[in-house]
Amino acid sequence: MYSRNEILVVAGSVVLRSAISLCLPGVSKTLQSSIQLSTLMTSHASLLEGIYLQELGLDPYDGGLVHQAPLLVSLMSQLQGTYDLLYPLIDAYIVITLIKLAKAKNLKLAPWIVGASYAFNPIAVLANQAKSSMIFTNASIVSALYYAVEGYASLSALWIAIASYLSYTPVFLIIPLTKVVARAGNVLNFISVLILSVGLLIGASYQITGDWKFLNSTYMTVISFSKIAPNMGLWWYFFTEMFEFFIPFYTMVFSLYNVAFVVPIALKIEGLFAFVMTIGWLNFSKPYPELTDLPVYLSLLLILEPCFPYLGYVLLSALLFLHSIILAPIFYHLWIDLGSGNSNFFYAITLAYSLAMATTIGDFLWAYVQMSYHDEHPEEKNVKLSQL
Amino acid sequence: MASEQVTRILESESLKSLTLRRWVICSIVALYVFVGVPLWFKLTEIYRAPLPSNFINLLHSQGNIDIRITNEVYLDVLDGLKFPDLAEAIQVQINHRLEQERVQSPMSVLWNASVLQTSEEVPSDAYVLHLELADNEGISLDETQKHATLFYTMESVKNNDLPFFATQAILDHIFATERRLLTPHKHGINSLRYSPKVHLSFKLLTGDGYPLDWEIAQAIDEYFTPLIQEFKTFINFTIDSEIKYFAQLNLPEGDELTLTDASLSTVMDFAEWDISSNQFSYPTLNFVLYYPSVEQSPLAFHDNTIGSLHSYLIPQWGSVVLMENSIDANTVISKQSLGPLLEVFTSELFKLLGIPTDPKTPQIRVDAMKKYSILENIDRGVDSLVSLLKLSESLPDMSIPKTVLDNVKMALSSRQSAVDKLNLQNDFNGALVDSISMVEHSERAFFDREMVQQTFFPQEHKIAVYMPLIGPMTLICVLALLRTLKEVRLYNKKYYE
Amino acid sequence: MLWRSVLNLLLPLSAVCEELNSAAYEPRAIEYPYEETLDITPLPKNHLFTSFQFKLESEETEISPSSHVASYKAFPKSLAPILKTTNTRELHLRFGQGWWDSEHWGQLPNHGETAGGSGVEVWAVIESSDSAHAFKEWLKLVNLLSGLFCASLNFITEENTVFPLRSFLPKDDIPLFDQSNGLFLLRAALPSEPVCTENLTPFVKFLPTRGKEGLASLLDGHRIFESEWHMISIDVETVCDEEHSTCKYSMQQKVDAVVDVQRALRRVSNPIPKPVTGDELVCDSKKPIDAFQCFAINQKTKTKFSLNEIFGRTIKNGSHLGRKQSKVCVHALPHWNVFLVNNGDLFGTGDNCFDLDTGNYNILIKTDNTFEVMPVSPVPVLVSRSMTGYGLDKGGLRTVFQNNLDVEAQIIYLETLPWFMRIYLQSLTITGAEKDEVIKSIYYQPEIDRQRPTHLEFEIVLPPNSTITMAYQFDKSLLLIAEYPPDANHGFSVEPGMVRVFEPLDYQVRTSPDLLTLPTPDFSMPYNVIIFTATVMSLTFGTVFNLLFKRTVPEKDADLVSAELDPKVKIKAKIQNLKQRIRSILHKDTSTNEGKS
Repeated sequence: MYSRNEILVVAGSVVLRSAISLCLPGVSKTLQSSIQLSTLMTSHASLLEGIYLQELGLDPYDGGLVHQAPLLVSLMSQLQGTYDLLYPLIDAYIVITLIKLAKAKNLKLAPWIVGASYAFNPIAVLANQAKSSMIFTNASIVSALYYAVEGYASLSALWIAIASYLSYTPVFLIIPLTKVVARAGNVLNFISVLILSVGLLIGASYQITGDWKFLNSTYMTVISFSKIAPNMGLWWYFFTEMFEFFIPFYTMVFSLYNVAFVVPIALKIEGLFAFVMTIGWLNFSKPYPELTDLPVYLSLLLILEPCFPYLGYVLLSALLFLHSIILAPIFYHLWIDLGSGNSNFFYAITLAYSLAMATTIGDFLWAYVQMSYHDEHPEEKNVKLSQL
Repeated sequence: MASEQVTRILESESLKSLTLRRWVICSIVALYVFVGVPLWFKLTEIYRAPLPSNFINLLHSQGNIDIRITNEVYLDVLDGLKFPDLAEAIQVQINHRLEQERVQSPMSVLWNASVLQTSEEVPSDAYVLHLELADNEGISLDETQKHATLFYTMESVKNNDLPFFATQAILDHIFATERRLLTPHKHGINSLRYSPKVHLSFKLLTGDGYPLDWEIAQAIDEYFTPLIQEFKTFINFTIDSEIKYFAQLNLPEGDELTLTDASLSTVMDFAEWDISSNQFSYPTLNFVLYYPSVEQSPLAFHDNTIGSLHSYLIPQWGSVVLMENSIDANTVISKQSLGPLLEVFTSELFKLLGIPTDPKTPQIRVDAMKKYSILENIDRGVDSLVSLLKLSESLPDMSIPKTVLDNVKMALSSRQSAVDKLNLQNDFNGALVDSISMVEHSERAFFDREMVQQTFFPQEHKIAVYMPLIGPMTLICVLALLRTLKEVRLYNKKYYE
Repeated sequence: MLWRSVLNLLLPLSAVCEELNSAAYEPRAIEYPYEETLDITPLPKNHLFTSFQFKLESEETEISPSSHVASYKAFPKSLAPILKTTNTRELHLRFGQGWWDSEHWGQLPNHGETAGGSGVEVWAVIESSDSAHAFKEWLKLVNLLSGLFCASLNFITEENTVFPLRSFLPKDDIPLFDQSNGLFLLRAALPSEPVCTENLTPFVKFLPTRGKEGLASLLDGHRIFESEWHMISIDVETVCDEEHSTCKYSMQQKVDAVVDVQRALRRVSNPIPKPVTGDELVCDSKKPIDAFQCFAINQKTKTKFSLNEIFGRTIKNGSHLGRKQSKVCVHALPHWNVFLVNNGDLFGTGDNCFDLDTGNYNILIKTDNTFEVMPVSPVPVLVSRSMTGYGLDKGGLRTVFQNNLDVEAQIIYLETLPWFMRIYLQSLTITGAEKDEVIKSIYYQPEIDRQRPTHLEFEIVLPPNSTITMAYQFDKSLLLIAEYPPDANHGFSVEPGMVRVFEPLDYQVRTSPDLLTLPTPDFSMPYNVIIFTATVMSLTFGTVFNLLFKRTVPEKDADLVSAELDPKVKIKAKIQNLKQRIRSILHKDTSTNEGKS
């Protein structure tokens, strides 16, 4: 069923990640506090704090620290001590799902390459050490996509419900996902299971915590951007510097900007493609982005292999990514630890990172547009295209 | 016009592509218009409650023309005599005189006295004019009730002078003070603005540091409380007393200084004595009994009449009584010896509160003060509202919270209620309460914290904040929308005709 | 005796005035509820601990509801109405600055009860129906006190107020005026508030002597605030008499200061600092001494000074107002000679305590051996706190508890941390003993941004003669640009932690405040940031929008269309046209000119 290469990739990913956490425990500790790899919403420390407070009998959501979903906190408190294995296994699951996804799409690219692109992506490896809880969301998103492609409408709905429950932003992925599901599965089924599972998840959380405070900590904080801390996104510095009077207004503008293209992309573009592009757009414009978002997105871009010939700015995007990812921790260090730089250094780098995201989105969209034109007009095979 | 080839290119678009593109622009514009714009309106709104400016301006310009004060006077003829039409006759005279005076020196409101024949039931607190036959004409006012007695002779009855005398008694004796107060005049600087609560602070100050005591609480209970009881419906007093030591006078060293009214302000330093602080939200009046220190005594006074108290009135602040000699250590000033002091303080208190000194009947004075205070409060309230209007007009970017509007409405309805009580029910106590509430609400409206603190942005600042992001995005959307509209015209022809 | 009994109430005015003038009253010993004492204790290394204590009580009428005339005698009239309107049953205020050297000076005065932390600290017991209402009263109280003391107590808000559970248990029963109400204890501290003369002035004005006489006449703001450590404390309590159901306030005011005598004397004798000459140097005998070497120690063996030199003033009379005479006591070993100076005469007593009457007083202290002083009382528990870590985004707090007793010490440790310090309680570590054995319980109320501080109360048992270290980590928040103070890079003060030892003895001690530096944005950038971020966003928006909205056509078609329809191309063509025309006109002109010439 699985080729040797694929098994090697999966095994390799687990071994590599476990080896680092076993041999170099300090690395994990350092990375956990890196603001590039996890944010206030997803940091491992706040998850542990939530578990600790719960064990003390305190309400983790009566305070300003814990933003993870209640079910995740409860689940993780059951799995204490297994984290060093659990996180590599979840990554392995992502790798397997990516391979299965690649197989389902019958790419020219060998499926193991797609898997390897995640398994051995240095950022994915580091993010795994940082133990950002975003990894659970990522796994859910990939699963949801895989089952949608395979036509399992209910499973797909369940997974996207979990992803949305864990970190709110994926809720907008439902729209392109519906389009994917529509090709092979039952949309009605999808929607009913989706509503049911979201209701169940929220209801169960209410049962566990006893009140609705968790909604405020988990979702309202994201929607209203009430916690400001440096991250890789566009929001934080803008709102730190913004005049108080305009903060509510611009929070609204940024939130709308965040979802502005969800519907248009789903309208214009084929399902899978739309799904990946929406992930890109959401990652680009969401309030609390982190580098942990990136590896899944990059690996999913590989699934869009058919449009590769039309890509024009691969090098530019790659360089922008490299530049910003390497400089981000350095400039952050200069600002925060050494004091020889100031906040503008890091801000400039987050702008570069955002530009890199924007370039990939633009590049792939343009590639898709050209590809679909050529599919519709096979006679104009090698004609250069332009927009009007 | 476009060439044929270009037209062909332009019209070559498939219906599917066209519809898709329309949906794309529609979805974005819908988000912009139906979500963005309403939220923009909501989130950057500077709420300006609509103030009833016309009505307030009308009140300001028209004054108190809608207020009518009518005093009822009961006529009580003693000695078993009967003058059946005397009341009407007096009323005619009164009306005639008031008519004349209205031209010469108009009062601030419509004032009238209506004369009634004594019926079975005269209300206990009503004005009553007794007519008593005597050897000479004269008038005397009761000191405990709002009663006056007019003494007349048979002579005057014969000459039909009785209505004239009665008119004089009513207008020039019973209501003299009231009519004077209600005629527009300059406000005395001595007196406080009317406040329903006033704090009285009795202080014993000495320049020395030896323990003293005084039986002030008992003295106040005995001499002072009965007096202020009369004012209970008008002003509610709270009282405290304190003893302060080491309050030295600023006397120039060496040469003798004769204390005069003028030198008083340099000699007494209230801030240094630490007695001017006010912990209450309402005005405080201070009454100070001062004993100089051994070194500084005896004090030399300008008008050194032996035996009199040297009391000095300090406008808006209170009154000071300076003693000539120092006081021995460990003395307790007894209740009895404080009696005359309190008498002095009482008369000073009346001056400070602006309560008129005549007539002798305290109820009549209180009545006059009540009416005067009602009108003064209403004027003050209207003034505050006018100032609020001016402020809101001069700062168009300032927010006017709903609470301000609520307070303005409350102030106006309190005024209306006060006017109704005056005009219809002669209920002066109720009107006073309403007029106080009007002042409070109008001042609360003017000093609303949110309104004062709200920062506002000038227009150009707003543009600088909006333009970088909203500008380009709006431009993109608008241009795309225009193009779509143009295309709709173009393609409708092609596809649907 | 000059007094006459006044029988007739209706004496003519002038006659009674005569009586007022000639002091015609009943003389009797007036019990005036006021006491003042001054304690002076020489400390090692030429330091001097001075403690002014003033005790006063209010009249019962001031708070009892029965009497309508509130009378004020000893108790300050400016304070009582504030306490009354806010239903405050107990009020404790501390203004302090400096560092108490426990190693040399021993226990804090009064078992630390009257010592607050650095800056301003205030706590109060308020009677109220519920905690929300109590908080409202509290805000009213601190705002009124703020005006009274010229201190920024109005900066006390919900962001720095806590309701301590066990750290401030009141000593006695506090009366409830309305049995349906409850009592609420609230506390706040402003660690960065500077304490200065403006705070001492109202303090002195509270006293009946108003600083004109008695021990308070010695209080000079400048000298007090120059000292190494000083603490001004005010404690007001409500005391009720069950039998008569009357109540009164009882107030204790204290000014404690530790003065460096050498420095104070130098300031008098030598206002412009000059180096000490060789013969005046005192060398450290533990280190090599010869003609060329001397490790100077800042201590003189012989000393002679008077209070006048320390405080710059003399005591002007003892207070005649007090229940007792003003008392000055010097607590020193017999080889310290202490004299009371009055009009040039010296007086000495066996116990070195002096009652003051009338006259100008000074205290003269001299000794040949300053190295030996009264043994200081040993400190039961020492505590110190410090920030750990580097970087502006996270850090740690490390608190060291040292138990000097031979028995277990039971303590409560209270910490109130600002909301922008987000602590991780799971990172709490204890070194020196087992965590479970040391920490018996934790009360933890996590912060909520801009709404409440972190409130931590640890119940700790310290093993005998042990040193325990407690540490935990925290993250720092980024604030909005408007929330930073003008000197944002200086940092924010974190108020002192407070230890209350309640077993085996009662003792209180606080840590020093800590300075927390937060990450700061660039304060000059608002418009730049708006423009940069907005540019990236609009660029991306435009690109993606065009890709989704525009038609795709072969490039040559697009070129054709744009050549004709693009407004830019059109305008270019028009300009070209215009140029052509102008050129042709000019050309025509020149050609005609040429023709003419």
